[in-house]
This record gives sequence, structure tokens and C-alpha cells, in this order.
Amino acid sequence: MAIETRVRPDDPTGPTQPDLDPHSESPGPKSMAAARHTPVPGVTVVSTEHNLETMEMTINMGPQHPSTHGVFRMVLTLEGERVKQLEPHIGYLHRGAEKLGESGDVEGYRKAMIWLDRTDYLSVWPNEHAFVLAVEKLMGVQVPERAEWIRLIMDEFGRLNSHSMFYGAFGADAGATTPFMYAFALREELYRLFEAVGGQRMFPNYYRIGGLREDVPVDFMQRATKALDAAKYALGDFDRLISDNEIFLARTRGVATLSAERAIDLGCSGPMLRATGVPIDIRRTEPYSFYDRVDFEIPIGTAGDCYERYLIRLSEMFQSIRIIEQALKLLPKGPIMGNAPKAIRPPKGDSYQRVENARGDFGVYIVSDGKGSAPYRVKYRSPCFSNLMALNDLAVGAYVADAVMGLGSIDIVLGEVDR
Amino acid sequence: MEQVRLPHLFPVPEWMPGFLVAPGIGGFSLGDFIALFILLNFILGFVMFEIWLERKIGGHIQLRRGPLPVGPHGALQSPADVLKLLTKEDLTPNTADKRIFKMAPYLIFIPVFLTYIVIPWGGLWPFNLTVRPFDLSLIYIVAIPSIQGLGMVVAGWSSGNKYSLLGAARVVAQFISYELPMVVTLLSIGILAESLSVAQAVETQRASTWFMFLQPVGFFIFIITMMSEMHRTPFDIAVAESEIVGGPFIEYSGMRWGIFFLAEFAAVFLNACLAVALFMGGPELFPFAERLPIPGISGIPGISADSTLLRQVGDSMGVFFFFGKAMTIMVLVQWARFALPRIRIDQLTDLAWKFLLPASFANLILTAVYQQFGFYPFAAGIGLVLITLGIMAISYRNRRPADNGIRLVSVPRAA
Repeated sequence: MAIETRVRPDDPTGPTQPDLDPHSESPGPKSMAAARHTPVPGVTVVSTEHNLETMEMTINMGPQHPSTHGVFRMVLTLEGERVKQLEPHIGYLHRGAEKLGESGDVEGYRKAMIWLDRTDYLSVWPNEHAFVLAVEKLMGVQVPERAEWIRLIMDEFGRLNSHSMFYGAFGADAGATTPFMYAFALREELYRLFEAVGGQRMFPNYYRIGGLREDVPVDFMQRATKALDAAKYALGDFDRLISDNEIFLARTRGVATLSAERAIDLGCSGPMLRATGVPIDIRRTEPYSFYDRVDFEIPIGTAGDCYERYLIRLSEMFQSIRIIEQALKLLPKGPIMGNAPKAIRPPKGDSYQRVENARGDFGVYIVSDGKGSAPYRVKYRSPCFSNLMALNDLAVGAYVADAVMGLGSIDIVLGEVDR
Repeated sequence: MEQVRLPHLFPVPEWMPGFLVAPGIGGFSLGDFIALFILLNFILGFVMFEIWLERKIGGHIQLRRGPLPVGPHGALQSPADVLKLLTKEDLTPNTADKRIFKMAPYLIFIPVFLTYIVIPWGGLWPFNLTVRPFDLSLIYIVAIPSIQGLGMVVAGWSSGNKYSLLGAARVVAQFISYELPMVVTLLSIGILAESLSVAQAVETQRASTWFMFLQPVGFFIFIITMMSEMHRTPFDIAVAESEIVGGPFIEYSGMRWGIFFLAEFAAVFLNACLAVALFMGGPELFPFAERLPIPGISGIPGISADSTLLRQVGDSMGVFFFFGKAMTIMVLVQWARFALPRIRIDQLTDLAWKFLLPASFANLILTAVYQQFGFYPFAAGIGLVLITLGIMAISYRNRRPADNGIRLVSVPRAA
């Protein structure tokens, strides 16, 4: 049974210590009241009037729970409705994506990318980008301008996709079902574009070391513009739907706050970090690709609460649209594949490339032994995993409902946390 | 339980056999039992329609189309769902308190059904469709649906599941918080009607005007509290899907689970009906029907010839207008479900104790002043209440502080 009532356990510092001698009076309670007031060995009766004390309840949230966004499990210790203790459990989705990435016998680097796609299934494009950039750095391959611009455009579309998923899921966490549907309407448009470009909706595996697998379709401009228009339209809807809703404000503002110092200590990145007011965005601080050639601004918050994390993601979507519009204008004609050899065999060495994906600072570390066609070692730096470290700070002491909001505002993808 | 006479409604037709109306078991005649049977079947059918309507409305709000394949526009979706639920296995968890677990769905549905008998549906010439408009029905409509809360607590407790237990605890907090403002609001209605009968409230509204104009605050409080009592969004914390995954209903399956939803949707319509009867003039067509100088028609038996046409129409086909109004309220409640996020439990109780309860007491006092001293002290009081409410609303309102929020910064491009 879930909640039991019991007398408070023996507390040596307690004010009263009743006589525990069982022979002092005859056992056998005469009535319920007498039974309640009969001293039990090893248990301190705090007061004869209020000796019924509620007990903490341990509740298991997940791995099958609608608001844990996958197979995440929290063991919550509740005191009434408040979370007193939180114990996260991860690993239900561990597939060994890094180890599998080292195991390809032929074309191991491309196969590693396939496994990478399956980790963070929402932020596929920037992650692929990090991988190809890391290998290109190792091999010294030059990428044609057109390929790099297309990568940048698709990265930003990927960010739009991921953030709209966050929007829907966060709304659902708050109890509103409609944002979810609106988010999926936009994601459908974006996935149509992804399908046209990469040939696959979720896991395009489109970037290649040295360029792209194939050129974008001839009507790419029209398709991209259509997707952008859909995004602009949907973003207006997103904003009007819940951003100023009183209940939504009450549920998110000041909830699950995180200070900048704590966020840095925990290694948070992405919107989690920027909500605390730290303007760190890899696209600006360590620009890769052509991000130093486009104008965009970085939204940062002050309080570091759920609401700012939400607003920052919404604002980043507007910035993504801005970046894509500039990039579409700058997109040159030309080849899409550089001077990369057919068989990818990087020289001995290692390289690390970090990108700003939808969740934060995503890094790929690759070690090559110079011999095999597969990387000797692959390591992914997962922003979700680091951001999830903040969960205890966000949820302990809050209501259950706020713990759910805090977890939702981290925007985790368990595939990436567990890898 | 003395039956209130509704002077404007038609008497029992003469051709009705006597044994149908003769008082029988517990004062209920055979006709009453027939009426109850019809009412039960009507509710079951109407709930199916209501669920279909809600799914359609929700679908269209959410860029979807709702159920489509079963029947025209998916109209037979609900019967199909009921068939599916009936064929599903009725699971009882090992940890459950089995007898209570099996009893709980009925404990929730029966009070809702019993409350329907006091609804003054109005006339459908030459019949009067009110089942039992007895005295003290204002107390009855508070007392009987409270059993529903007990049913939910029992369901949550007996399931032997921690989530359902949390849900049960939330139900208790919610019921205690929201019963009080609702009762106080209903007391104001009692003062205005000078009776504790729902039917008498309808009669008083016929004579003066709809209580929603005399009692705007009361109407507002009633709508809020009734949504909370029905555990509808934004007050669905007891069944919160994203937190406690269905609350008290988590362990139920098959038709027992279906009965919970039957009761929930029946309660939505019930509360809409109560709102119409108490605040929106019941079966009346138009709030000022007597004032509009359209002469009535004479010669129809049972309908008084000296009232205006609008009133005659309202009297003879009142049930349609009653339904129209009730469905408007119902759609409003359904709309809120798809438009709003869920409120948190402390905010819910805050709203009830710090805002709704003082407001309902102020409303009660003002109503008493109005009833005792007439309009002008009442108007002065209304001004005071509006000011108070404004201050309370401003202090309650969770405004966006100036320093909270995001700003865009341009970070210089690194070399």
C-alpha cells in the first residue's frame, strides 16, 4: 500500500522517551484508542494527541511515464506534494552507440555516423555536422562552399524541428494538449523538406566527409522558402497560444530556477545555460562552418527559470529563421563534394569538434590509429547528459508538478543521454 | 419532499391514466419511474454524443479533424468505443481492495444521475419534463454530487497504486476548496429566489430577469467551481496525465474505466444544466420575454393567452431552449480543455481560498442587501465589490516582472 501512517521512529534526541518495559503493564489493548496509545517497543510516541505522523512516499516516475520524455526514471521521495529527494536513473536506452561507431569493418566512419543519428533523433543535422567536421579536421579535407552553406541551412532547420518538439512536449507537461498538435503541424512541414533533401525524414545521414551525399533537389529554394513560411506562421501561433497565458506563466515563471554559477559548475550548455544569463553559444564563441558570416543574436535570460528556457528556445527559432534567410541568399552554385578520398582513412591522430545543437554544446572526439577504416575511438560529448545533471537543483523542494516542468524544460533526449 | 408547483407549466394531461401519476413507493409514482428510466437512457445516449462532440471540437481546435471513419463524420465512434470497452478485460490489481475497487465507478456515476432528477427541463407541450422539482433541491444538488468526490477518493485509495493515491489526495484538497465558494454562491441564489428550490429559482427568474445579470460574480464563481468539481482542464490536477498519469483511474480498465468517463461527461452536462437553471433563466427563451410587446396567440390549451409570444414559445418548447443554453455552457467547458494548461495544486487552492471564497461571501452579503433594501445600496455595494475584486485580481495576477524575461545580445564574432 502506498501511504501508511505510523508513529515516528525512535529518535534519541526526542523530548520524551516512554518506558519500553513490556512487563510494566498488561498487554492487550482494550480499545482502538488504547491500542493507539500503547507504547510500541522501539518507537517513540511523540504526543498522545498527534502521534499519527505521515510518512514520506517513494514514488517511481518512469521509465514508462508520459512526462519523462523517453525512458528516463526518477525515484522521487515525496512529502505530501513536495519532492524531498530525487534519484535519477538512466541507461534504459543504452545501445553503445560510441562503441558501435568503432566497429565498422568497411567505411567505418560513415557507419559511425548512422549510429550517431540514432542517439539524438531530434537534433540529427547539427550532430552529423560535428562528426563530419571532426573527421575533415583530422584529414585536412576542404569542403566546397555550397556544401558548407547547405549544411548550415539544414542545421538551422534541424534546430527549428527540435525546438518545436520541445515546445509541444513542454506544453503537454504543463497540461495543454493543443501546443503539441501545433508543433507537429510545423514538424510535418520540416520533415517534408528533410525528406526532399536527405531522402529520409528522421535520420537523413546526408552529410559526407568532404561534402554532401548528393546535391539538394532543384526546387530546394521553393521548398525551403515554403518550410520557412510555415515556420514563421507556426511561430506566431506558438507565441500567441501559450506565451502570455496566465496559467502558463504561473506554472513556469520562477519555477525550477538555476543560477549561472551552478549552471557553469554542472557543465550545462545551450538554452539551459543561456537562460541563466551566460551568453555562450558555440556558433559565436567558437564559430564553425560559416556561422561567422551570418548575422544573428543570442537570446539570454536573467532568472534562469522554466519560462526563460521556453522563451529562449522560441526566440532561437526566430533567429534560426533569420540565419536561414541570409544563408539562402548567400547559397552559391558549385560542387558539393570536396577532395576527400573514396576510402576514408584519416592519418594517426585525434580531433575534437563541438557544435551548438538544439540542446547545447555537442562535441565529437575521434581518435584514428591511421590503419583501420573505422575510428579507433569515438566519444560524444552529450549536452543532454550534462544538462540533466541540473535536475536535482531544479526539482528538489518543488512540487511534483514543478519537477515535471523542470524536467521538461531541460529538453532531454534519452537516446543521447544513454547513447 | 413536497413537490413545488410550477404555475407556468402544463398540468398533467387529462387523458393520462391515473395509475401513472398516483403516488407509490416513497412518494414516487409509476410515471416517475418511467421518467427516471427515460432519463437514464437519455443521459447514456447524450454522453456518447457529448464525447463525440468534444473530440470533434478538440480536433478542429488542434488542427485535426477528430474521429472520422466510424459513421458519418465519426458520429458512431462513441458506440464503437463502448463496444470495445465492454469486450476488454476487467482487471483488478492484486494490491487493490477488491470490493471497494469494484464499487467505486458506481459511487461516482449514481450521484451524478440522481442529481439529474431536479433539473427543471421545462415544458414540451403538452408535457412537463421536470422529473422531481422538490423543495430543498438547492441543498440536494450540493449534497448528492459530493458523493462523487468520495467515489474518486475511494477509487484512488483502493487501487493500491501510488499515483492513484496522490490523485485521491488531490481530489480531497480540490473538493474541500471548491465546495465552499459554490455553496455560498448557491446561498445567494437562495436569497434571490427566497427558496431553496431550483424550480423556484427558475420561477423567480421568469418574474424578474436571469440571475446571471443580477449575479455576474456569482455566475463566474459557479462556472469556475463547477469546472473544478468536474476535474476539467485547467483544474484537472486530480487526473493530471503528465504528472500522475490519470490519478484515481490509473488501474481501471474496460467498462469500469468507461463508467468513470461516462460519469465525468454526464457531470459536465449536469453542471451546465444547473448553470442554466440557476443563472440563465432555465427554459426561458429570452431574458426580457415579458417586456417585448409582441402579443401572444390564444386558443392553445394549457398555454395562457395573455402573455407575450416569446413567453408562450418559451413555455411550450422550453426544453429546446434549455438544451441550447446548456450546450453552450458545455461547449465553453470543452473549449477550455483545449485552450488552457493545467493549474498547480497550490495555485488551485490559493484561487479557491484567497479569491473565490471572499468573492462569494461579498456576493452573498450584497445579495442580501439587494434583497432587503433595494437597488441603490446594492449598486453602491457593487461598486465596492468591483473595486475589491480589482485589487484582488491585480494582487493575484502573476504579472511578468520587468527584469524577468529574455533579451537578445549580439556576441562579437570570434576571430
